[in-house]
Parts: sequence; structure tokens; C-alpha cells
Amino acid sequence: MEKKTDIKKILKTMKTSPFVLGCGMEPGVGQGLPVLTVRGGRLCLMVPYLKYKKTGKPDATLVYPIMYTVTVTLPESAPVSFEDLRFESAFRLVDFTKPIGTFRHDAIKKYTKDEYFAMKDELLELYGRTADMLLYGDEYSERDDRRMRELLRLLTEPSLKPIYAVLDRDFFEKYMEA
Amino acid sequence: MFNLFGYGTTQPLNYDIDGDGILDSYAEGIDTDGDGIVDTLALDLNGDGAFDQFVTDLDYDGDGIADGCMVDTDGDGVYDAFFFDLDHDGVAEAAQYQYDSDNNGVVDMVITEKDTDGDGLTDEVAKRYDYDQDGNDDYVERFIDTDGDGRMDTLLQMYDDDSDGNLDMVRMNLDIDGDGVADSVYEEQYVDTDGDGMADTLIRQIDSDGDGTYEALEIYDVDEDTGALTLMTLDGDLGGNGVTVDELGHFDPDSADPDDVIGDPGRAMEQWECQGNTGRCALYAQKFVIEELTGREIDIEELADLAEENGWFTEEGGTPTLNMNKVLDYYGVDNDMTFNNDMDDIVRCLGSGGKVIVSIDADEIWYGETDDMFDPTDNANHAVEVIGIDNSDPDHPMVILNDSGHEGGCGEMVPLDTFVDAWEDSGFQLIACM
Repeated sequence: MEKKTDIKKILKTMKTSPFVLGCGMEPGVGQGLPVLTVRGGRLCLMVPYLKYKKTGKPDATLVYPIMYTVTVTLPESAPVSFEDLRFESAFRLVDFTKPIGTFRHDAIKKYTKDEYFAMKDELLELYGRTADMLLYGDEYSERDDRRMRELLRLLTEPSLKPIYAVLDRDFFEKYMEA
Repeated sequence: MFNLFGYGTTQPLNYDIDGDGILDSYAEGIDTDGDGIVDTLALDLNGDGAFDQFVTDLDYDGDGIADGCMVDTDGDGVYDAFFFDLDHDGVAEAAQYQYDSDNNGVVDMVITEKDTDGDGLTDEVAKRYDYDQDGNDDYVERFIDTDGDGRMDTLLQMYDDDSDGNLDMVRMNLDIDGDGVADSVYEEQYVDTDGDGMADTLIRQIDSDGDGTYEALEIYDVDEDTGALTLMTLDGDLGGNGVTVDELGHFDPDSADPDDVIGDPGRAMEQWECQGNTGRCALYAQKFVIEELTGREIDIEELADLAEENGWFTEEGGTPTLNMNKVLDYYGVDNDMTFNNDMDDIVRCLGSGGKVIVSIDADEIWYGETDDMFDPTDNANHAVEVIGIDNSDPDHPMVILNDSGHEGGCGEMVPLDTFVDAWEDSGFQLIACM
């Protein structure tokens, strides 16, 4: 099947896009699982940026709160907005310098690194298929929808879910809420 | 009852300050419940003829004897200040003030003062904040005078990060020398990593010298039933930026065959310095290059001040990607920052006498990655100078780094594959300097 909206490629391109680099984000933040969202009637991809800090021990990598989001249109990946959540009133009580969890969380401890990234790749494929369905009316099965929910609920760090709920309530309720 | 603690009799409060024959303040005992017994002291503090404050005895333990008093300080019918004299010596050993900052009828801040040793001096002040007004404290800070010298030397900060009603993060700040700045900080944080509403992990961090950086980290599994702690990992001293892997070799200029080496790592190693517990990696990498190319000695503190003043760098956040050559520009070093490079670009630059700065995911070099220890994101978090490539073993070429991030970073030898993986996370960012 032809891949029209390649989310993995978009994420990779964003890493060195002039817009993202120009946002001046702190070094060490990486892309978290993105959010499909609608802005001004347009389907967009909101990409959270957060820090993971290794401690040198298994399953003890520190997870920090999502600090920034960058939103781009789909499928063009034209920049829409950059948000520094440290200045958002909804996150005024969050201490962004403190870890809020550890990686890997219990639900994914049984998966190896390769298995984890295979599931993440599969999830990003499903993001693309969802986008293609919304943008072009492409085929999208109930099974795809169910699998995307399964993977998002499994792979999303539990400690990050409250932040996702604020970033986009609709996406959170559809895909992440247990 | 009715000893009107703290106020004595009503008489001293009846003042005619300006001598015009009209009382400027006035107090009167009143019977609020109509049982024929005076139970409250009503005060008109501004002499306008209306009572604006009410004081009533407080029988805290219900034994019929007053243990202090409670005050309605603004006359709105709600008591908002409480004074406790549980030993009945006429001196309050504790006071509590309640505030409704947005006047919605819900108390959102409570301040308590205590004199725990009875010397007449307050030795503990606690402030409790209920930001979301759900009845649970979201943030509590306690100022404590631990040695009774009249000066608060300890600040305890407690947070309920997830608004579940439990204070799950505690930070203790000790100010031993009384300069107002913490000399050491001890922090405990309970974390619910699996989202089941129960804390399952405890993270302890210690900043023993008050420099703002935690040197010690302990992570515990918390038994959700018993609360028992099991140490998961213990890097007692993170040493610099948390380096625990010291297997990396170091380039030896004396034993290396120059024909096998690209670049001049031996000379570059003379400029190496450790950044310590700072986020100054990009500043150090630029300093190394400037000193190598110009022969100038640069003071890192001056360089940090320069970068901060110009908004290129912050001590807390480090140096954003696009600012990683600003100091080079300032010192007139010809440079070109590009992305999506490959090893040939590094070889070409070093081979022509140039200097190379790259950003990498240092964790991949310092810790490596295994099936149970990896990062779900790919991101660069560190800047280093690439000072050479050692091809003495053609099957296992090594990239030589001046890595300011840890004590063993001078001439650090990294396998080519490991380096490329770490470099990829920055989008193969390269600053070529001539």
C-alpha cells in the first residue's frame, strides 16, 4: 500500500528543520509520541519534546515532563506553532526540572529494545494511515483503530498521560485513556 | 472561660488617641449566642462605630478551659486567625492564619507559626497552599530554626505533583552559614510510574555543596502494599555528568603512528578541560577550538558571561543548537555549521587542518545501549570536539574526542560505529572550523 503520509519521515525532517532549530529548545530534548490534532479546521501533527536522562542502570532512565510542543500541518509539515509549556498557565504547577517517572515502565519491561522500536514503528505507521483516512478518505479498518489505541496506551509513559490530556483532550480520550 | 487570650481586659483597647473625646478604638464584650454569658470581644479598631474584628476563646481540647483564642480579623463572620496556649502560661506557642486569596469562601493558604521550645521565639513557620482549592495541600513549605538561634536555617518544600492529596515530593534546603542560599539540598520524590494511582518509585537526589547540581542519585522500588524500599540503582557519586562507563580508551600521541591518524589529536589534547557539573559543553568545545586555532588562552568564566549576556547560553539550559558557533563567530573563527553530514566531511575537515565540533547523544557513548537500557527518543545532549581518527586497526577505526563531559574525556577513543550512532541523533550536525 502506498504510504502517503509518512510520520516517521516527517519527524526525522523536523529534527533539522530551520523552524524547529530556530525555536531554541534546550539541548537534550527529544521527540515524544505525537498527537494528531485539528487546528483551524486543518489536520495537524503536534510533536511533544521532552528529556530522558539515563542513569546507567536498566529501567532507571529518568523521564521528565513534556517541555515543548511543535505543531505542523499534515501532509505538508508546514510549521503552525511552537509552545514552551513552561509559560503555559495550565502547567504552572509542573516543575520541569524534576523527573516524573522512569523508563521502562512496568507494562513494557518485558519487551526488548528491538521489540519496543518495532512497536513504535508500527504505531507511527498507524498515525500515517489515520492521517491518510482523514485527509484522503483512504481505507482504515476497525482493526487499525483498535491497534493504534492498544499501542498508544501501552507505549505512552503513564506519568506523561496527564500532560497529553491537557495538550489535546480529544486525542487523549480516544487513544490513551484506559 | 472568656479570658480573651492575648487581649487581657477590654479596657486597654479603648483609646482616644487624638484627645477629641471620641474613642479611636473601642472594645466591648458581647453575648453572641444570647445565653446571657459574654463570649466574644468585639473590636472597633478604626473608631467608626462599627465592630470590625471579633475575638472568641478557643477551647481546643474541649475541657471547658480556654486554650487560646480565635479571631475574625476582618469582621466577615469567619474566624481566620487562631492562637494556641495549650500550657496556659499566657504565651501563645502556636498561631495559625487562614487566607482566602480570591474571596470565594474557600481557604487556599494557611500559615502556622510555632514556638516549639517555649522560649518566646518562633522557630517554625509553615505555609500551606491549596492552589486548586480541593481541600488538599498542593504545596507546603516549612521554615525551621533547628538550633534555636532565632534564624531559620532549614527550608522544607513539599509538593503534591499529581493532586492526589499526597505530598509526593520533599526537598530539604539547609542554609548552615546563614547567607540565605542553601548550602546543601536533599530531595525525595515519590513517583507513580505505572499510572495506577500508587507511588511505586522513590527518587532521591543530593546536592551536598549547594551548587545547584545533584551529585548523588538513588532510585528505589516502593512496595505499594508495605511502602518498603528496594534499592534499584545506586550511583553514589555521579562524577561529572554521571559517567559510569570508563572502558573507553585514550589516544596516546607518543605511541601512535602519525600515518595512521587523521588530524592532530596530540596537540588538541593539550587544550582539554573538564566542564564539571555544568551545562557548558558547547562553550568548552568552542574554547578548545579557539585556543587551538588562535593560540589565545580563554577564561571559561569570561566566555560563559559573554554567552549569557548575549542570550546564547544559560547555566540551567545549556546552549541551543543554533547558538553552538556564536562564540566562534565572536572570536572571529571562520566556521560553517551544517546538518546531514557524514564521516567523509569530518575526515575532509581534519585532513585539511581544520577543527570539528559535533553534537551527539553522549549517553550512547558513556553508557551504551542494551535491551533493558535504552532511550525511547533520539536526541543530542552534548557537544564535543572531534580531534582525530585513528585507523591503526583498519577493521576497528576509532574516533578521538576532546569530551569535556567527564574526567576521562581527554583524547577519548570511541569506536566509529558507536560515534556515528551517537552523532546521528543530532541530525549529523557539524561545525567545521578553519
